[in-house]
Amino acid sequence: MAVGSMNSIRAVLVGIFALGCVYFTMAMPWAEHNMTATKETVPHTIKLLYLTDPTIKLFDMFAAQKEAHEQKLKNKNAEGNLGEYVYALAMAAAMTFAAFAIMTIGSEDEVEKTVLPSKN
Amino acid sequence: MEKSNMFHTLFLVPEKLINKIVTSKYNPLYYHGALPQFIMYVLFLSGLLLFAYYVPTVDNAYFSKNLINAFTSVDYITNSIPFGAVVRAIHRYAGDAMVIAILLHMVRVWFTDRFRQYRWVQWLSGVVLLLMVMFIGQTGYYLIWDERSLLLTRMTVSALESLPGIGEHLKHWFLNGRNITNLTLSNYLFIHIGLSFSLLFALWIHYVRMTRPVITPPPALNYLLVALILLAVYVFPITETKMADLNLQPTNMEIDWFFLWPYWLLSAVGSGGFWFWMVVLLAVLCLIPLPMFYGSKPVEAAEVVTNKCTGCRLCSLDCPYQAIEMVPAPAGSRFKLLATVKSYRCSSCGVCVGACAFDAIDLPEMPDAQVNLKIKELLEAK
Repeated sequence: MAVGSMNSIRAVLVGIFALGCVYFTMAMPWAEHNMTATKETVPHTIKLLYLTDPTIKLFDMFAAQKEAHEQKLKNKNAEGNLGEYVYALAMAAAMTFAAFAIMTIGSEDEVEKTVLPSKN
Repeated sequence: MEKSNMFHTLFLVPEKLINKIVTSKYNPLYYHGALPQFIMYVLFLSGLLLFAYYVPTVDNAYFSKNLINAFTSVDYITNSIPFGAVVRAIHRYAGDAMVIAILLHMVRVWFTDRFRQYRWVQWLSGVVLLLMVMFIGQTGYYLIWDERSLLLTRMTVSALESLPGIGEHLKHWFLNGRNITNLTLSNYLFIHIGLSFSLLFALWIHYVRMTRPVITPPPALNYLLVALILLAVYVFPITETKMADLNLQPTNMEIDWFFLWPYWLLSAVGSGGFWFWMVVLLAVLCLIPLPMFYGSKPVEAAEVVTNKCTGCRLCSLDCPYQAIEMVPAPAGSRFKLLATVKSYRCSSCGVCVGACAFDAIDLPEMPDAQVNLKIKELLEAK
């Protein structure tokens, strides 16, 4: 029973981490185009999957943070395309969630099992 | 505070805490040797991308639009190449992460006494690796060819020149000539890339006398490490600098404390003091493995029972530390070869005892008979 509930908690955690990874992954194409959200910036794969409209809505959510990121980076005298630094931040967040998801899945076999031969 | 107390506070307490959160399989403190190896791959890849556009020249006599030199090529990478600024920042912060990971590795190896006796090769090769990484990082800052690079170059030349006898030759080697020219930057690029690839050879020496070295962290830890570097890229973005002008003498610079702390030392104590402290630091690091500095009894090496040894070579082939040598058997022996143990290499691991089919080799502190008795007791207890 305890094992079953632990597996359910793990499954929920993995789901949350996976969703987090996907959320921040979607920020990357938005950031790559200097934090502008248009139909043209939606990746072709998303268009093939007919997910353009939800993606545009997601881009609009991210767009609310554009000014804050720009201000922060300009205050630090950042050189180059500012959207690329935000891309790096989004990638960092996506990789962190991916790492936590992997750790949650892979933590079952962390104990080295020692098998002693049985005497018959 | 005793070494064991400090180790407990610095390492064991955070280790237990991290184990509770991510389990021992993903505890980064258990991969302190593997983390610098992975960071090296990140540096190789990002460095390769930068190398594709880098131009190692110092020409700035004509400030025209078509000026191409090291600084403008770096500027081009930062502002015109997609993700150029990010790749540049990844390269820089991965270098800093490398130094942090190496220092963590060094401190932990020292605290766990994994530098003693037969492990002196690993320790000394590690010191050499650290020196190589420090020099590679410094040459990286010369390559940008901004005002800081010029100041660093001039400070290095003054430090090298101060060495009696060889100073002038070292200066000549460092600048690849008498003055700063295009050849100087080519030299820096050669050192930066050449030394980086030489790290692989030095790492082979570092690993060759280890058994089952862990050189790859689990993928989840790799993702977290890259995520940390990318976070640093956002928090500390690349900022604009001024091109080096050979006619000017820059006096201030921003210090990257991971690589450029020797220049702070040089400016604080002068050339003489600088070399004194560098020699002291190097001597301390190299002398750490000497047994006279720690008081433990030496490892009891395995002993060959000469009247049982048949010279089959199995122990010599199996020994992970190449501590068993086959020599011609004495006159009168039925066999051609005899095993002999090099006690300074032996780690008392017992692999040779398991390999021998003739009970001809044993550990003095753990004789076969005692081990067999213990196994029997354990099995009967079950």
